[in-house]
Amino acid sequence: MELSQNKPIFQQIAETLEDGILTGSFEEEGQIPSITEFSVMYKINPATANKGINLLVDQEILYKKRGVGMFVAKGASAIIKEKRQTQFYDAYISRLIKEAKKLNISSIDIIAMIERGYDNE
Amino acid sequence: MSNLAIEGVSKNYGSTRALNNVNVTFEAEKIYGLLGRNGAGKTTLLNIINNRIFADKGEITLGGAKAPENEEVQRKFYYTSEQMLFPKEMKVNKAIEWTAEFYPSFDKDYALHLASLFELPLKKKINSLSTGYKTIMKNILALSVNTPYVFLDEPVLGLDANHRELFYRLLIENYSNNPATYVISTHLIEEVANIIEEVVIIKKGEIIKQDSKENLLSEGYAVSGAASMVDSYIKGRKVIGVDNLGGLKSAYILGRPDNELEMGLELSSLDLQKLFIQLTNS
Amino acid sequence: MKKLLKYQLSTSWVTLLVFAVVYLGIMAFAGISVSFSEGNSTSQMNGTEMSVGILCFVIFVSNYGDNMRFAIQNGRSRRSIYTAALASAGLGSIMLSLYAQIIIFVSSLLLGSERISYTSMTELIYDSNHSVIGHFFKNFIFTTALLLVIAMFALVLAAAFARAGKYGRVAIAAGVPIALFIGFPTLSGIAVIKAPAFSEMCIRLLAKVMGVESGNPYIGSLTMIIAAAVMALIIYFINRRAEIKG
Repeated sequence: MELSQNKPIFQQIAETLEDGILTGSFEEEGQIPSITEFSVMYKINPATANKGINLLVDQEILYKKRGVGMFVAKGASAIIKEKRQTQFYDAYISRLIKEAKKLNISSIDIIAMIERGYDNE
Repeated sequence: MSNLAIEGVSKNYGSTRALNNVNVTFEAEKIYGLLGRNGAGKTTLLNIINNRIFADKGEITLGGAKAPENEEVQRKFYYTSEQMLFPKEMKVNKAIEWTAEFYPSFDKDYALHLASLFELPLKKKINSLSTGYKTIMKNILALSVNTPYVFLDEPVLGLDANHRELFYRLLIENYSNNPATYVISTHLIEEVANIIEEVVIIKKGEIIKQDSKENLLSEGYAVSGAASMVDSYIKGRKVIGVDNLGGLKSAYILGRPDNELEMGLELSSLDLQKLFIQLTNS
Repeated sequence: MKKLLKYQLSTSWVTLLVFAVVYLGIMAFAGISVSFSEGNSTSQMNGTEMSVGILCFVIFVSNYGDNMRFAIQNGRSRRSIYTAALASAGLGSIMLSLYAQIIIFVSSLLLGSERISYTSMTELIYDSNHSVIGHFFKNFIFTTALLLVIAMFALVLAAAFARAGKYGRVAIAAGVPIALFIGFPTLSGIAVIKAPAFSEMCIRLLAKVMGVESGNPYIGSLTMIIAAAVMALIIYFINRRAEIKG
């Protein structure tokens, strides 16, 4: 997994974890890799990995089992979905609109594209 | 473990000022990047800390105890640099054994394990190793010694890509499992940028920045777009550098960006190497 | 410091062992071959400790720099390095001297005859009333002091070399042999001719402090030990601010 330059790394770690939870790669009540494994994998400072994980602990998506490791909370999927639904507009829509305006694509065209997409994908 | 404090350290070589009133603190259990251009003074500073040369002025203390000529402090440090202080005729396995002898916390099994990972021949004499493998040997010792402070001067110079990657992974793993202070001195910034937590930038013998990487990078931002738009944007702002590509321009600015940028202007964060270049260009 | 000593020993034990065997071998061979040969020619194995002296010099001069650098790499201070060097000079002198005296003693006892004589440096310098067999302790002390002074001299050179810069090292490497083997003999030659009274006084002073005048090796030993102590002080100051160069 590549790290991009534009978002803080700890945030990218958190998002990758969230993606994994949503897709089921990390099961609820299951264990996630350790801080060491994350930092070695991404070649980042463990404090950064820790920060990303703690972000999710604060949002009650992950929890810590003393002496064992970090686990995915029950209902984590639901929490993530809700969070992302709220963020959907800022994360995707406004950028889409900015780019569309740059290219002179009207809102009607966009709606048509979206409907086409939902049919095909 | 206490902090390592360098206060007011200066060093001259004849009429050349190698270090000028250097003040820097290395805290426990953090990974530091000691960044500087060639000849900036990184090695001189590390040599002074590790009792190889003497400062003309200033003090170096670990938890209040003076570092120079003090074995109690020096035994808490391990330092590898370009200089080869091992006897040339010594074999690699002997180097490992003697380091274990002098440093009780040295993990010999781990060192042997690393030697096989790197394919370092144990029975060879040190002077018959290639430059890259000499560095690898020193790195292996540094990774196995388990002292509270480990100083690495250009640890990946001369290493091929595979060995560089392996080294970084091992460093992170080691640090995560056995936290210690690692000071990595290098001018290869891109590679270490994600690994270091703290940044110390040295320019012409002086410390120009000492801060956490997070703070340092949040100190500024980059704005890119059409040259004319960028030019009007940067009016009145503190610009530390620009890149031009035809009609496109990128400007590197200190401060916080506005919440909304005009259409056509792109906002991105500074990366450490770019920031370093901008700060250390004369 | 113990670890430094252990390390120093590890770097030189092979040389020492080889020398020990060769020395014994030559002494034995000389005696045995004489006893098997016919004729009336005589052999003299005199002052063989000088070879031990040269060995001492060479070991200390050649190992000091490497040992110091390795010690610094392993977090040791210059002070430790200094005391370890002195300790090995002291212990080394004693052990080597003892070994040499024993070899001479045994060779003389077992293989000595009218046809081959084994004598020590002490006997050579003082007189035949100081042979090893009758005066073992005197010989031992004298030889130890001699080896000590040689070892110290080697350490002065080595420490100066380690401290010196590029040009300093050339000056030492070329200058010391020239001074010792050309400069000093030439100057003394000139002195003998041009200032005979002065040279005579110098020679008599030397004979006096070395106990040659009074025929007392103990005086000579004391002088050499004092010389060694002075050199130890010099080494301390040279070593104290030595910087490790590439």
